[in-house]
Amino acid sequence: MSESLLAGRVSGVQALSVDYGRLANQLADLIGSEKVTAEIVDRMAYSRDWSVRPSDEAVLPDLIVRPTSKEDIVKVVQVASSLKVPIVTAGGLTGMAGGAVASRGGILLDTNGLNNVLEIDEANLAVTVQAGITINKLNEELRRRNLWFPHDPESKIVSTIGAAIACRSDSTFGIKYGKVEQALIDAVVVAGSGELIRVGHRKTLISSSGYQLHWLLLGSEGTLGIIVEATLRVFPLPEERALEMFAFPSLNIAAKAINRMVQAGLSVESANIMCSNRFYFYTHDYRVKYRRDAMVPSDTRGVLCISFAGDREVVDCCREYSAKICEELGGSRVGEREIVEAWWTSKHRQDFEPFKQAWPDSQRIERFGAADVSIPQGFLDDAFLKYQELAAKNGVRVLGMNVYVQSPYAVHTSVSFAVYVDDRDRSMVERFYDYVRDMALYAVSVGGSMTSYQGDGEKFGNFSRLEHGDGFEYMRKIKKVFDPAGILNPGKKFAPPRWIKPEGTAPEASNA
Amino acid sequence: MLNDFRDQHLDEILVCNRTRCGFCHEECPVYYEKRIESYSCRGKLQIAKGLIHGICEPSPALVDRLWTCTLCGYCKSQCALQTTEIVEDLRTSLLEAGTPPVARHGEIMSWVEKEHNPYFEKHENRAHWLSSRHPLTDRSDLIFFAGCTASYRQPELNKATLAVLESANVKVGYLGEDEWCCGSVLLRTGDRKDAIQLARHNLEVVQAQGARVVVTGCPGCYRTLKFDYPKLLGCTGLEVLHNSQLFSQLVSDSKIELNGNVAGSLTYHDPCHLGRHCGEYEAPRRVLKSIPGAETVEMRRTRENSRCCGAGGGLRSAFPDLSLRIAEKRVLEAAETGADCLVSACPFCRNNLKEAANSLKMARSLSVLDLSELLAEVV
Repeated sequence: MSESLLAGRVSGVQALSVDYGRLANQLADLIGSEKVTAEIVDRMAYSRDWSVRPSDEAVLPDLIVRPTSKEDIVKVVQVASSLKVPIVTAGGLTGMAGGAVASRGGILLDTNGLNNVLEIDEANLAVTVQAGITINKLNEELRRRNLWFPHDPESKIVSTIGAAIACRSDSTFGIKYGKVEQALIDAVVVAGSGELIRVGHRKTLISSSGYQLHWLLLGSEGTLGIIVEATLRVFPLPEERALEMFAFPSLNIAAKAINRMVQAGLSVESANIMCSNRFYFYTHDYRVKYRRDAMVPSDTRGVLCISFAGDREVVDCCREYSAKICEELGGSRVGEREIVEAWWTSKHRQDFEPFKQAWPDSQRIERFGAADVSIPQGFLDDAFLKYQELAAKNGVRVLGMNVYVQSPYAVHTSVSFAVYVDDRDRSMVERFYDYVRDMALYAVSVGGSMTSYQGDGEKFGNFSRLEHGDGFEYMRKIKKVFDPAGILNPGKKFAPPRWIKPEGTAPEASNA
Repeated sequence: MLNDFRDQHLDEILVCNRTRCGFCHEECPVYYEKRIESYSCRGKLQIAKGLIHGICEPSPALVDRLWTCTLCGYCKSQCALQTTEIVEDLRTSLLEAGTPPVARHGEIMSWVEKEHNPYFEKHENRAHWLSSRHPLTDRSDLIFFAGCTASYRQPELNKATLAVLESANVKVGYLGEDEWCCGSVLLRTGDRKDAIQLARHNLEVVQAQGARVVVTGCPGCYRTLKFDYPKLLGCTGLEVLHNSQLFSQLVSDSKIELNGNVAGSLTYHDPCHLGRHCGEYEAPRRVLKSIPGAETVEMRRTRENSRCCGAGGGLRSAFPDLSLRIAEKRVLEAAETGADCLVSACPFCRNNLKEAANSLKMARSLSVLDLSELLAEVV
């Protein structure tokens, strides 16, 4: 076994005594040989996700299982449970916290074989799907009936419904529809014992009965159970959409403008605020095309990007009224429509019109890495300064900050503080995680959260105890109830972090 | 073993390695069926990294994963990386380093070397499709490159092309037995060395005729003659046309008189080698739109986003069941439009889609035709 194969792999006490060849045969007999492979080429294909890690690293699972039914999964989990073999559940493999990396070896369970829509209940605006369907495929099916599922991470082309629930990813349309937590009505899950349980309330979101066990699945990252089915609320497709951008001299004032729109009764569909660095990065292709900077005031600190959707008259009204609110607060409308349109297409289309950026050209030398933290809205300007300071302290270069508003009709944020990382340089990867740690501690110090869309994974592991305090031990107890043998995604959430060095201390907030 | 390959492609492989966006993933025709990461482009590039770093070695499983790809180029259409070139070059590098090819491809490679066609036919029968109605002409500046597939398996397509050209009073020369396989089949499956021999021969005989223009009805030949030959041999000095481009020109110059009438609606399937590989999406559509009575409807996935028919990249010859399943998906998309006829401009697509329509028992409601056949009916 070569060194690079072993690099980064945490030795797994549980897995060492298992004969994986024999286990592969056993599972093949149970669910079919075409759904089980121990070939090294297949294991190599699952050797990483989108997390920042040294480019030459590969973390190989011992076995790949690709079930096509919940019954298959029950059988696999029962066998794994009896042998105490780890199971790492994977969806689209776009996670950024190493959640689907088999850091302790074992079985990688790929859910992409469960990709059917089971029921579209138009009368009740609910859809039931297998967990391995991608968000885009679900929407392709729904669109035929003029419906949609608005939980919309940028990875929607490949990320699955199961992963959206288990990782609680961001959504473009969070300010109107919330995220997957507002959409999840019911789920079927295979617990670590191999039992198949239903959690939730079938077709209604509203209940004051029992514990809301389905909510435990949100952000569970495959540590409590394997989600096999989900029932989700869906919406009629809006007919029209309008996009606007407004430049502000402060990030906090941009957030205030959103609050004013909510107060005024406008229905904002999506909202995010770019810092001036991010806006500069974002307008790179504009500068190439026109050989000038985008025309925004020179004191611009934050650019608010918003959309409205619905019937034409309502959309027009929201659009004009939003301009009035922003201008009253000192914002100015970005008049160049290409810039505004490109914001939308960069999120939703592959052709990136009108600037036709060729993805992933921007990742050729260095990649983007982000501290993904949640910052209470009153601290956004403070966070911008802290971001520059902590990036400089750790020797990483600032790319820009983007504030995504993720809560229905309220400014609760998921902020991506992006930096450049050369992942061919192991020491830079380490510096990146020092920076992530410092940003996480800062976020907690101002009442935010250390991760807002990537999750704990192996990145933070039990470092999150600093955020959760006494609650952390109760999480461990809950984990024990669902997964008594500790086979579900071991090494994540509760283990020491892969990269974060816990000795960091919380930096003070600069103001507020 | 893979030094050249590493030097040429490692940087791009590491871009994919650090990105993982998966934009190429779900709509890859092979991944869509297999649903195992190693069959996707993203997975294949990880395997390439594993080979370069010495984590994996050539094995039957590795060959299976790398050769289970139609090279349709969907992944490349979603990405700035040279994904299809990486897969094709990796195939080539592995074979050159002594890795045995997929068994069926090995048989085909041997046969092509001996008889200059991949269909296990004798070379001497290559021009048998040509009836006395279309005798060889002595025209030498415009050569019709018939290709193996139509010559041995679908002669009606060659005849249709000639009939259309005849109606426009366009005379073409034909190389007869001097025409050899263009080499596309070998290039896609990794046998570049033998493909170069074929290319040299074909170029020599074409140039010996003094030809300026070569026209072919096969997008595989078209791509190979137009783009691969100059890459392998340097500037060829030839203009290469697909028959749809020539037809389109003749229609717009009013050289073809369209007398017939096509009742019903048509939907056009973009062959990958014509569309994504060579960027020709419009010429066949222009021709279809010019046919009296024809109503054209587009499928959900067209042009750059078109779904592959499943026949390319050596997939059909080595993995026929998978190839058919992919073709069935495309036929179902065509049926969804309500069209009566699914038109392509490639003998590989036509054949695979026809088989899929048969296997789905849809052949009565959805006929599958090549553009040349359709056009021959109305001139």
